[in-house]
Amino acid sequence: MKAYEEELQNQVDKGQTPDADGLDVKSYQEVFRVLRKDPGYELSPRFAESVVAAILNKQQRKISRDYLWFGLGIFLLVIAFVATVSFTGFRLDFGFLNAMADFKGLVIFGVLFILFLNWLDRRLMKERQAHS
Amino acid sequence: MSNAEMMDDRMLVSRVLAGDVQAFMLLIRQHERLVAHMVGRLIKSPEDRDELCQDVFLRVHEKLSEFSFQSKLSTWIATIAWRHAINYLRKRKMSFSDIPEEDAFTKRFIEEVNPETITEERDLDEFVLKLVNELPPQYKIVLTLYHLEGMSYPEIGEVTKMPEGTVKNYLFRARNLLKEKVKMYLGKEELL
Repeated sequence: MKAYEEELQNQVDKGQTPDADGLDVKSYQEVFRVLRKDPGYELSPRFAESVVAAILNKQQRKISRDYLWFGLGIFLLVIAFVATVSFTGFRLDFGFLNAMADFKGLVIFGVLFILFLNWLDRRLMKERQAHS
Repeated sequence: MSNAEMMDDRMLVSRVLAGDVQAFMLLIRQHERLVAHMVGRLIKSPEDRDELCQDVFLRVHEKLSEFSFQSKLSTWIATIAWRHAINYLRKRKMSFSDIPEEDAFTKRFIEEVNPETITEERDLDEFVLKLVNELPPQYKIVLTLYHLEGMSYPEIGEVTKMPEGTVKNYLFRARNLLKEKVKMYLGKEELL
C-alpha cells in the first residue's frame, strides 16, 4: 500500500498522470496543486526598510550604552585615583626618568622599532584583506 | 550550489559586512518571501508573523559574519527562520513536540471529520489550506520547503536538522493524509 502511494506521489510530483484509481490520482493532483500555490503570506511593502530602521536604532542604542559605560569607567577611575592618592599620600615623582637618561638611544630605538612593527602589521593586513 | 549563486552570495554578504545598508535591503528582498512562507505556515497570528520575520532578519544581520558559505545563503536564513518559529511555538506552549504516534494521529486526522464541514467548504483550495494548518509543524515545514521553495531533501534536512529519511517520510505522510481528506471531499462532491 505504501509503495503504491509513494509511486502515485512520485508520478504526480513529476507531472505525470498515473494509471491508477482515478479518485486517488485526482486527489493527489489537487493536493500538489494547492501546495504549490503561493499561500499569500505577504509582508508589508516597506518591510526591508523597517528592518533596516530597527537595526540602525539598535546600533544607535548600543553606541549610546557604550559611551555611558565608557564615561562611567572614566569617572570610577578618577574616583579610584583620588581615593588612592588621598589614602596613601602618594607624591608624583619623575625621578625614574633620570635613571633612564643614560639609555636615551635604547629608548628611542625601542619606540621606533614598535612603530615599525605597527606599520608592517598594517601593511601586511591590508595585503591579506585585498587577496581574500 | 552553482558557482554563480555562491559568487552572488559572497558578494552580497561581503557588502553587508562592510556596512552597506542597500546591500542588506537587497538581501532582505531576496529572502523575505522564503521567510514569510515559513513563518506564515507555522504562526497563525498575523501580528506575530510580522514581528517574527523582522526578528529573523535582525538575527541574520547579527550573525552574518559567522556564515561560512558551507551552504546556500537561503538555506542558512531558512535555518534561522525555522529555529525562531519553533522557539516561538515552544515559548507559547503551542503544539510543538515530536510527531504524534503515527497510527493514532493518522486515524484522528482522517476519521475526525465532520461531514458538514466538508460539504460546507465550497473552495477546495481553502479546504486543503485548512487541513495543512492542522498538521504538525514538522509536516508543514517540509511541505512548504519542498513544494513552495523547491528545496531538495538534503537542503530541507539541513534547515530542519532532520535526517534525509525523516524528511522523505514526513513529506510522504503529510501528502498522504491530505490526499485522504481531499479524496473524501471529492467523493462528497461527486455525490452532490
